[in-house]
Amino acid sequence: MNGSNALFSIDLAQVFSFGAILVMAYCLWLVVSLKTNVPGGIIGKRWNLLMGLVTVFTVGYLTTPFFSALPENVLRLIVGIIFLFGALYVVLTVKLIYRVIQELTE
Amino acid sequence: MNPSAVVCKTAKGEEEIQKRVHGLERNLRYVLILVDGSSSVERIVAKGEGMHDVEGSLLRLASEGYVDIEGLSVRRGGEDVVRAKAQLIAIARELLGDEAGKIISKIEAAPESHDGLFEAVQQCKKVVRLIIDERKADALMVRCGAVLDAL
Repeated sequence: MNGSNALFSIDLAQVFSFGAILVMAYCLWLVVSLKTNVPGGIIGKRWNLLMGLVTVFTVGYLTTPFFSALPENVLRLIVGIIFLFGALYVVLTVKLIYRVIQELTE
Repeated sequence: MNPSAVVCKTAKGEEEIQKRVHGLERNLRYVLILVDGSSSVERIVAKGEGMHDVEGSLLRLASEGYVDIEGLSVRRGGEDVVRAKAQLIAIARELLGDEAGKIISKIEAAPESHDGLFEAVQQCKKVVRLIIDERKADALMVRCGAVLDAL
């Protein structure tokens, strides 16, 4: 009974992980393909940073299927890095949205 | 528009008939051909019976500077605005090069009035600042502003 519960939870975690990887891969394709529409300016400069962060996320997410095989200290480091860059991504996005609103309403 | 107002071609209209330099739409060209310099709006509408919205086409030809309609107070301003619009497009093309497409579309779609063009230029400046280049946005505003000030 415990074994089947463990198997179920592992499968569910893998499903979420693969889903996350797929979404992030789509996001990476999106930021790269949309770059030609935003060659420069206020958004264009931030866009390059967003592309870098999405690339970091994609690489980080690709490690999730191997989490069970990684030593705990490496695992904690990867999760910490993803969290840190996630927070930076949110700050960057919020500031960019605010700047766009400022530009459009000035 | 006064139906008895006489319509005549401007120099731009004559040039378009002879050389097709401005790429006038086919239906507008047909209406322009009907303008003989002595016929009134009413007479041209009658000559163009069966054609779509001849009166509307005459107004458009007047606003784009191809014809003068007697007593139509906006006609002179219309020619100037059309010329200013062409200048704004040329400035955008010169400053932005291959990236001017969106900006040119915005200017082309702007209403043919001073306020309409000014509003369009302001919007273009914001778009350029956001997605092309902040310095080019300022340069665009300065140069287009000079054209609009002279209007």
